[in-house]
Amino acid sequence: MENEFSILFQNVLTKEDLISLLAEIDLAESLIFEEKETPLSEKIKGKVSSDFQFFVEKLEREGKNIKEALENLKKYFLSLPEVKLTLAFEPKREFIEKVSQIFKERVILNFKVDPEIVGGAILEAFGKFFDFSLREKLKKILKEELYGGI
Amino acid sequence: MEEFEFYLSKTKEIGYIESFFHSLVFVSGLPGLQPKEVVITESGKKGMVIGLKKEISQVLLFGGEVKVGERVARTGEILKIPVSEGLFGRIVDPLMKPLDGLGPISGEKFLKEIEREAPPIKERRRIERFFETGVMIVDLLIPLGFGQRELVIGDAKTGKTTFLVQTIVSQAKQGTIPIYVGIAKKDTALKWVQEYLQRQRVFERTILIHTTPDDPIALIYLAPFSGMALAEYFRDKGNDVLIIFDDLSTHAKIYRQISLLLKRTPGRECYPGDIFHLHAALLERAGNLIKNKKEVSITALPVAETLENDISGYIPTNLMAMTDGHIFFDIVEFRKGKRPAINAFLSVTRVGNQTKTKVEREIANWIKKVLLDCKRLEEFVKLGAELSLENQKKIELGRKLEILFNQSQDKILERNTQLILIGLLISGFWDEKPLEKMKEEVEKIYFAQEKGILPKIPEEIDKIKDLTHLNFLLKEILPMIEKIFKIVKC
Repeated sequence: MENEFSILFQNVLTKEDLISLLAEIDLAESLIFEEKETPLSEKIKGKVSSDFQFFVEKLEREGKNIKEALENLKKYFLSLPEVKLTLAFEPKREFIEKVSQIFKERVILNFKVDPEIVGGAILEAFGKFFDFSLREKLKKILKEELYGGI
Repeated sequence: MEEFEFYLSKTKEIGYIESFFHSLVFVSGLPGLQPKEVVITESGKKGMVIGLKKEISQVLLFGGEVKVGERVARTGEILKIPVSEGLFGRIVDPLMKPLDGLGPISGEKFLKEIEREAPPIKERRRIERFFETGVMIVDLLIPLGFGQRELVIGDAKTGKTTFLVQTIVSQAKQGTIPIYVGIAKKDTALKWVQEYLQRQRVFERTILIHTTPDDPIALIYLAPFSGMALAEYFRDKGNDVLIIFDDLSTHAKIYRQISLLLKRTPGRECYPGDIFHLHAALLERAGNLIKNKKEVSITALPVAETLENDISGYIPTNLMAMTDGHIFFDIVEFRKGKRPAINAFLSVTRVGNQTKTKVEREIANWIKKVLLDCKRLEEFVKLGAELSLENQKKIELGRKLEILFNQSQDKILERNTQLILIGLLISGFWDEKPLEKMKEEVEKIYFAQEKGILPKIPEEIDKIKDLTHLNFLLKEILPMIEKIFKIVKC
């Protein structure tokens, strides 16, 4: 299944990407049965991303059941685990790509920006919670060094 | 929020509320969650894990509102309640929060797990000490022992709670620690119990755990376990404890509600399959034990409600199987005006007879014979048969026995008083006197008990050999008793 959707993977890394993809899938599904003469790839031209259009064209060339393929696509991406990352800054695309490569399996990254954490990150993945933020480190230092652990 | 952050950084696991329904919350995440573990939400609401599935944990919330998407953290702790000596004379909820408006609970607090394993066989001892209820028909015909589990069963409004509070009063005056657990009881019902115990001046020695029908189902579910944890605390300190669960049939209904909402497979009468285990594990924690070379006990009186005398229902028969007997409150007897409406023939005590002395066994046999004869002869009277003088006297004796067993709610008869009353009847003291005269004299004896002027039988009960010996001892104090009849005006 990964090979089938590989064209879309490089672009669907975050929750926002996933929401966009799901919107594109919904649009395509709504246009499948509208005016059967024109192929779906023509109907969605200009309304979806080029990668998604290319994906639909590939399905048409291979003669696959498009409705079924779109449903499988939706199911697959919705089943991917979500990893929440709280950062002090808005991450750039290169950063997002580097972070997604850290995980052994495909994940959907959900970024939240909170300047109050000062630096570092707060990570929530697979039910686990890790506070690697600078705010937490500073709190610990203040507690131990300045106030003697009280 | 601070407490939540503390536990989040301590356990390093996070979950999210996916959905909730009343007090049941379904949480995703928290991979290391344990059964019965306490969890805390972002808004500070606490709950207990009641079920674990692959992706979702089922949590019973102790109260308050939550939101979908709210974060949840583990505490890493099984539910514990804070127990202390300051609970005497207080009304609390199952988490030991005061409900009586008298401020926080005083005294040093100790945390006790709400669910524990029952004591092992090697710690248990045979039940041999007599447990006085102060209700004559029970003490003479259905005797109980310290450490016994005796089911109190009957229809609604047949006097079960009256009997229970009489037992509380009788035992509190002897140093036993009574704990009354109200399970989904109306506030007015608890108020009645409180006022009765205050009138009898034992409220300051009692602990009341109260839940109302509109409390969160988690609290109602926890009530009996909380009470038992409290009882174990006092037992382990070297005290005898009396615990009353009023009532376990309601508790079973609450557990059924929880299980159905959790979509567990329903069994007989839609109760979950583990309903027997739930109550058996609770009641097994009661008993007579040796702790630090001292014999201590938890005597449990669970209550079960029936409908139209049907004791063959699922929950009543379950409870009968896991207790050491039952006291049956008969609606037919209640409608006849008998108080307490106990049907001694349908009641059972499986270990109470071990606590009886020789003379008490003889008394019980005498009473049973009289009652049986009376019952048989009354059947003949119904058919219109004429009875001989001897049989008429037997019926009258039965009626006189009923006068002794008829005990209003404010009357608590001490053992000495019971022996005097039954001894006088057996010796024939009231044979020639009419029923009204006997009633009057019984009232006077009770009055004398209350005033502390009733003479004591001049021998320890376990040293009284038989009925003849009892008769002989009564003759010694008879002049004092007759003096009481003359001076007391009722």
